[in-house]
Amino acid sequence: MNLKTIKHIAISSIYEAKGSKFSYIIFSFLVILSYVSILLGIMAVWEEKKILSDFFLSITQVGVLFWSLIMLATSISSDIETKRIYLILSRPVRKYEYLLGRFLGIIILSFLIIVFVTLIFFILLLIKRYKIEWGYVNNLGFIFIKICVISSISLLFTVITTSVYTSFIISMMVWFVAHFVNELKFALSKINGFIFMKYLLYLIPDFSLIDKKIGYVYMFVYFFIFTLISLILFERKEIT
Amino acid sequence: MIISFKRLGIFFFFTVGVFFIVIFNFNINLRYPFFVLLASNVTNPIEKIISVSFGTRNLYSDILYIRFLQYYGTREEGDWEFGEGRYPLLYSYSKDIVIIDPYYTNAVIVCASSLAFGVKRIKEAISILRFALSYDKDNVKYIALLSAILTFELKHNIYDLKLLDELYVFAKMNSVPDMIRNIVGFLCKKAKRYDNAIEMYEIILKESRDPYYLEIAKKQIEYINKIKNNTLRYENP
Repeated sequence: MNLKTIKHIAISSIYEAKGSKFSYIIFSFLVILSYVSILLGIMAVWEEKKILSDFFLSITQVGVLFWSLIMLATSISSDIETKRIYLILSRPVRKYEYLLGRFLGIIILSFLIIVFVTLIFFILLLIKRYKIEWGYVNNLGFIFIKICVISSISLLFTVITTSVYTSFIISMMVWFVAHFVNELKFALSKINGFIFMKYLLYLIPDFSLIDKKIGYVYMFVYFFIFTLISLILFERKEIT
Repeated sequence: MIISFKRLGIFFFFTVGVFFIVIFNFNINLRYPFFVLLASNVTNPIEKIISVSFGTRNLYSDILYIRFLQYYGTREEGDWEFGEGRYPLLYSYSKDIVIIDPYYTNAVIVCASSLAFGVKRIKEAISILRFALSYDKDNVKYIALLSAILTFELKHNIYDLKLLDELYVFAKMNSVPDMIRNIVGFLCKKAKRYDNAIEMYEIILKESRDPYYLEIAKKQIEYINKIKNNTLRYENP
């Protein structure tokens, strides 16, 4: 594995994603919603700070989720469709190095977007003379991990289908179910039978377990496995 | 057949990872109420399921709280000043909040105290607090408010000293909503515990950011000082 190659691909991926139209749309979406958060905060008289922090956490999560899923799917699919990938792979670059570079670029930029939105939030808190709490940063950590895991799942489906829409829709469905797995597990534990369904749930990460003691490790394992399968599949894939 | 160490390592990590996931997945997180269990108590289930599965549970609970405040803040028909003050949907709104997020301390406290002291529906207030306590077991504020409401229910006397003591200790805790502190200050004043009332209003002056309550606190402190110095007969300003 050539780390230098991966680094270069990741950096070029960051520059490409930074200049894309979709990034500007997400950016304006975040700015408009930041303004909405101020209005919402005023409506809940005694809970302004909580509403501000919950709102910023939510818009960070939703914004980065959409951004990362779409950017990941489009960057790889468009490289294959426009045959640009041949240009990259004609150099001494392995397929999995290319994929890992692309993936890391998106993950790093997702992290930077989270940092950027958090800075806006902290500035807003300072203007409103509220104290900054570390619990917020902890929640951001949870969001980033969830984004990493869902991106790895999206990567797998992008590799399998090479279609932007299919990958995006499946990843979004997994995101919905992953927040609801806990409830499904509980419901299935009360019903006899459905053993197949119970084990099928293991394919989807349970996001509610993230705040458990080794929840981080649990999420990392999912992230690692999905990324590994994607890399292996892409390495063996015939790109036409 | 030659198997490289790299492949063996990947296979090893993969197997260990899958094993770990299977073991860890046996955990069921009991942090939040299950919609399946509550069934008919869950109003607007689709709205709730979408908000939870989108990962925006906390934001949704904030929106429910704003809905509650808007409902309770809207004047009902009837009496010219305060309306009839029955608010039949108050329990339903409170239940929605506590089901989505039983850890939302201030919202639960405002809901329960509005039910108990605002519209005098004690049993509903108790059910809200008991539900919240079944999840957030160590929440001292819930326990304090529950004991105050229970005393109120037992004695049916708002000037009961034990109730006032409990409410007073509760209202002095950190980040109790201004509305509750204002009520406690008012009750202390009516029970002629002027020092406690002044202390409560001073806490509001120190910690509140709401101009409405800051104004009330200033006026009340001035007023109580006048009563204490016998320069004014007691009369509600």
